[in-house]
Amino acid sequence: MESILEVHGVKKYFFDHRGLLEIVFGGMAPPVRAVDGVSFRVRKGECLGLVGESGCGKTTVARLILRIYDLTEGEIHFEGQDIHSLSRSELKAIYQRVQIIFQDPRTSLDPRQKVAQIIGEPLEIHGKGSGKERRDRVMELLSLTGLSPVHADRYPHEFSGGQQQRIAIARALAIDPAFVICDEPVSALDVSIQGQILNLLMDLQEKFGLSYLFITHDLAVARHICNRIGVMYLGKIMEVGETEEIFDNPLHPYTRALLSAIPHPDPELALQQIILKGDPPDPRRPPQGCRFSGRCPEALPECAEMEPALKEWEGGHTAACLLLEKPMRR
Amino acid sequence: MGLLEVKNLEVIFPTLWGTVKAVHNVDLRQEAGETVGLVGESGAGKSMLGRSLMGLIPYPGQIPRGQIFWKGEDLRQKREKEMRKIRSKEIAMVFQDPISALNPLKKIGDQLLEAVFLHQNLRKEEAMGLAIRRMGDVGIPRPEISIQNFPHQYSGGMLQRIVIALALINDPALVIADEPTTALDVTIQAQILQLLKDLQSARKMSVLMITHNLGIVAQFCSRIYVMYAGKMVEHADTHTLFLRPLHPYTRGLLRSVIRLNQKTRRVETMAGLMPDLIHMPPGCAFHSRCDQSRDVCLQETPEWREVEKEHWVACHQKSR
Repeated sequence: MESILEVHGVKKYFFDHRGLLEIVFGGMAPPVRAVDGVSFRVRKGECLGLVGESGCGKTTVARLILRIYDLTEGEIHFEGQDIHSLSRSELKAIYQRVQIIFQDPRTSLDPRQKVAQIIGEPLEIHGKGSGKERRDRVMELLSLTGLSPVHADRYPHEFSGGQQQRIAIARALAIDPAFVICDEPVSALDVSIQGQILNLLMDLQEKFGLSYLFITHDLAVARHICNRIGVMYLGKIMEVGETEEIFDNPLHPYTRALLSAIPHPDPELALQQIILKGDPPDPRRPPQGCRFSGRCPEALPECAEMEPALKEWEGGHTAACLLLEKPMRR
Repeated sequence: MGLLEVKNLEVIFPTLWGTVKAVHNVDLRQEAGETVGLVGESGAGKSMLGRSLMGLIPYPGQIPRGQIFWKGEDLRQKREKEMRKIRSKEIAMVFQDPISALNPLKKIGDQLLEAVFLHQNLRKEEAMGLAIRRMGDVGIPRPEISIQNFPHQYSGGMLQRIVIALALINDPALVIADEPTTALDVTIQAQILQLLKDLQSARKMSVLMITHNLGIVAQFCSRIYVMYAGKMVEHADTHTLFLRPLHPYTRGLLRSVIRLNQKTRRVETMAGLMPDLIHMPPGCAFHSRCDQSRDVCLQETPEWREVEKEHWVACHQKSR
């Protein structure tokens, strides 16, 4: 299938500011390797999930796609165009096709703008329509996202978290994008509201044939909305596969640990948790070999020496783990 | 009488716009050695209920009514001086965010020692030994060196272990854990919950687990209280609550939770929002979202009653 976004060997290192002391005496901490060699593609019309724990680099990937950060290495192609080699005006055209929904609507909506201004701003920036047409479009978007036209002249603080997230979704859809990055869109919401927003995102995807990159730390959320899932750990992708494959047949020990760590809301299902030891390592000094080797309950001695490559094991199911190369262990 | 027994408790916050009834006519009971869950969405009043047990209601909160019996004595009759003898010694608290629960300017050891000296008459070396032992109990590597460190030198998961060590240092009978793992990643959450479970069974202490996560209560609590808009709506043992929930809110909550093992794509949802705690509607607080509400639900507040043995519900549809 045709892909809308392709990410090739992307790296993003964050270097510390070099102060006077460092200039005179030398000596700098190594850079934070937030994203360290990530490749994936998003197919047209699908929802690809990126899951992982805080600090694994999933949000940095989103920001690199939007060119909020500059790349250290690699290439990102959106509809065939290399995003990081475009000029400002060419980039503006890309931003008509790519939009983002952030985690916390309280901070992503301007508290001093009315809802109609917030939703209409992308139209204004891209010079779409007259004032009247924009207003009509805003009304359309409000009803599309389950809000009402009477909300247009209110301020964000007058809304609940779930409604605020609907406003953020309406804003992202204002200029008919093809691709929407959802960065933890339901994590700040209550349980009973999360489902509403997920259903809305799925309805909109179906209606407009949108492609999503869905970033979340919650595997249960990812299972509902994503067609495929990539699991990240410490700046690398550990496993990519169809959603059902990831859940029913996880290949990487990290994915298995992550899945087992989630407490089931059902007392009948006894927990068989894989409790990992320790914390994720410092991204300034990632371990030699496999990044997960220090915490991996199944690690072999050679895991700490050789870094496994992401390989395809079954149709479309890839994973980076040395254990898989030993047929006995599979 | 249980270890802790709360009766008709009310917590209010007078504001310029009206009085917020954060906790309204709430009963709760906890026995020695058991883990009880208190669940609800944000704004349901569960944290305020937890804090009121410690006498830590922030300004301008008040407790106009109700009793909090701790080992038979009403904590509301106690003066601040007496409450200080109870906090940390008898009832301790673990907060959601370990970074703000610790003083960033003091060494971890000094913070532990401060809590020891408030309640135990120990020499400095003995207290230090105790602090090191507790740090070891919660799985901090090389505790004798770690107590010389500052909080910023640790990750969130390690800090939450330190906060738990601080809560346990005076051997309290009850630990109130207010969303102890919400700020943590799932693999770290699994570590911390396992730790709390191990410590609880080793020390026979009671834990009141305040959380919005139904998975955590299902796996770790023997009994569960469900709160909604400042009121208790249902209480039962964990199996009964999950298998035969009686209150429409509990049922809706269980339906709308996003499950890992569910294959359907669409998520079931509950329409509407929790009412404003200043302008509470008359009758049942849940009636506007309830699919079974009748006329009586709009007019009369449902009574909190035991409909089956050890199964309490506040709903006019009590028998279903």
